[in-house]
Amino acid sequence: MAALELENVSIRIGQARILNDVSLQVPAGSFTCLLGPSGCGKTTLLRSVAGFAPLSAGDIRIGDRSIAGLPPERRETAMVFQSYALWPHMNVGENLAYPLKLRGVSRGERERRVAAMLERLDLAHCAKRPIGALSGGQRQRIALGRALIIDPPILLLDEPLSNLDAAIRRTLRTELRDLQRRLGITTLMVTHDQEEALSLADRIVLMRDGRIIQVADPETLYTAPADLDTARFLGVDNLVPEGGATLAFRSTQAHAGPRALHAGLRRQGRVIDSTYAGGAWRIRLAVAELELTAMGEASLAAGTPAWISVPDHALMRFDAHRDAA
Amino acid sequence: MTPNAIAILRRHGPGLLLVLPALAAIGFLYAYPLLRSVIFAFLDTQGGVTLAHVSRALAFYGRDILFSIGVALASLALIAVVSITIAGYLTLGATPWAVALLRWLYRWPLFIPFIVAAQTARSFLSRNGLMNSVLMELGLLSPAAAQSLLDWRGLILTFAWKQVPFVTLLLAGAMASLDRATIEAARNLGAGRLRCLLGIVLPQVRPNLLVGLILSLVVIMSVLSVPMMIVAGNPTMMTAMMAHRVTYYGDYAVANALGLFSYLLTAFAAWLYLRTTLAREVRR
Ligand SMILES: Nc1ncnc2c1ncn2[C@@H]1O[C@H](COP(=O)(O)OP(=O)(O)O)[C@@H](O)[C@H]1O
Ligand SMILES: [Mg+2]
Repeated sequence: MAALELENVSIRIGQARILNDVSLQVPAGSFTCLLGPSGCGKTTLLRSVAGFAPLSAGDIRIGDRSIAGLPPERRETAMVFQSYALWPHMNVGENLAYPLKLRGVSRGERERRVAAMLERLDLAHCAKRPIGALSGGQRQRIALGRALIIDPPILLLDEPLSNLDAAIRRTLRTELRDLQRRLGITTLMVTHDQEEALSLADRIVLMRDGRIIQVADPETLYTAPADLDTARFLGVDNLVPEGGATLAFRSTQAHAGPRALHAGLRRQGRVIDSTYAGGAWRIRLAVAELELTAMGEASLAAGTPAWISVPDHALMRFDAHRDAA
Repeated sequence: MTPNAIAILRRHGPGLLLVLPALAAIGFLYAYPLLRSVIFAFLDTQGGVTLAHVSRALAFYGRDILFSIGVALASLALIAVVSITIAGYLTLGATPWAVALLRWLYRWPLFIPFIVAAQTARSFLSRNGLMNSVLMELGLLSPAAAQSLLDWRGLILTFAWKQVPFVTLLLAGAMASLDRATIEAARNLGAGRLRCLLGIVLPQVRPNLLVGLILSLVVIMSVLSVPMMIVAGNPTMMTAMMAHRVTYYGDYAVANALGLFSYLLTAFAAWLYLRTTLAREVRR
């Protein structure tokens, strides 16, 4: 059963249509990512679930209970904000304890649960620290702990890792995934980073211009995007028109060299340039009036003739009429 | 001058020159008269040191001093409660038109001079004033039970009416500049509007509230027109008594001694403020 269900949700702010007729089912215990370019309405969708973006039409349900009419404090969703939104006048322990206090949990029980959460987050030594003394990664963990401490039925994450540097982001990504698996908590996360979505989610909801374009598991989304714009957003960087259709592929899956290696698609062209891409060379080729990119095991001099070839499984075909652009 | 002193002058000379006018203005217009009035509170006619003025001020006006402190504290309490309520509603209110209306309305008393406010309060709060008339019209008050509020209650109401907009302005500004997400996080995790105001918003703007209240205290301790127009007889605010002492008796010494108590009160408030804000700075 769907733990969270959006039915024909539309949101308008003034004249702007931010979300258009969005319907979505989030299965219980799943890790669902909302993925899409900036400004496509991901945050607005998340905020509508939390109760901060009033619906112009549609309904939102948790289980079989409609929450669309409830104020944010009665929705029982726990949200982690992009800016973390920790309360600066409280120290770390107080931040974690406050949601419990709001629920009338006794002092002893609060202290026990805060200590357990700090232990789990590996931040037991930080209980008395002011928020200002924490690093970005520590703040992120506390924000996550503050949301989880109430055992919410739904966890909402708005770009939780985007303000962190690459190394911490990788560590926290793994931690987040482990934690979610262990708790089995239904999670809805917003991100504009496809790598993050692909590695974390078991379901990805791809959005564009306030609409849902595709809902799929990461592998399906990656190998069979619904349309050309989606494919481009997911890093498909070579387009070859063929008849009325367009063949598309990723340069990382194509080969460039003196001989054609794969059988799916073969074209001969001239090398424009070669740049080293760590372990292999990224080679740009002029093929008729097209410019294509592929990987080669050696650098090729500019102007030399070369083959580009793509294996069958890496080719995606899009019919012209489905290409919105 | 030693070479060392010259070097110091080179380094700090331009800065000194820039702050000099401000320093001079503070010195001549503020610090000097203040110091003078404090000193004269302790000097007898021969120029010797005496506590006579202070003890006379206490003996004549002890009740007025206590009355002033009581009225000031009660006014501040009322100002705080009303300003927090209005600013809180402006920040957390869910009805856009009501918020817009309130935002437009609340500032008006700021632009009304104290003497006009006092005059208005007089005609509103007196025994036959507008308030009692309206209450009697509505049948909520019997004519026999009507009483004048032109005493400590009138003072508190008038001071509050004048100062609430100012404190609200400070508070609402501070609340508007808070990270909105800290408020939303609290709502999201289960805090209703009121809990959110008291637990999340107010603690973050506490220094601004304190500043507003301390500046209001200074106003309350120095406005002459309000007690003059609202309270007839004793006890009344220290300001009215100081004016009385000067205009009727030419007795600057006792007036200065009374002034001393005003300084002490406001200085105490300022010290409280500094202590709490500095403690915050250290905690950060
Ligand atoms: N309060 C608002 N008022 C007007 N426009 C808004 C508001 N919030 C968001 N938008 C607009 O809605 C669109 C979607 O915003 P958002 O949901 O934040 O996108 P995302 O999170 O996908 O980057 C953007 O074009 C943004 O400008
Ligand atoms: Mg966003």
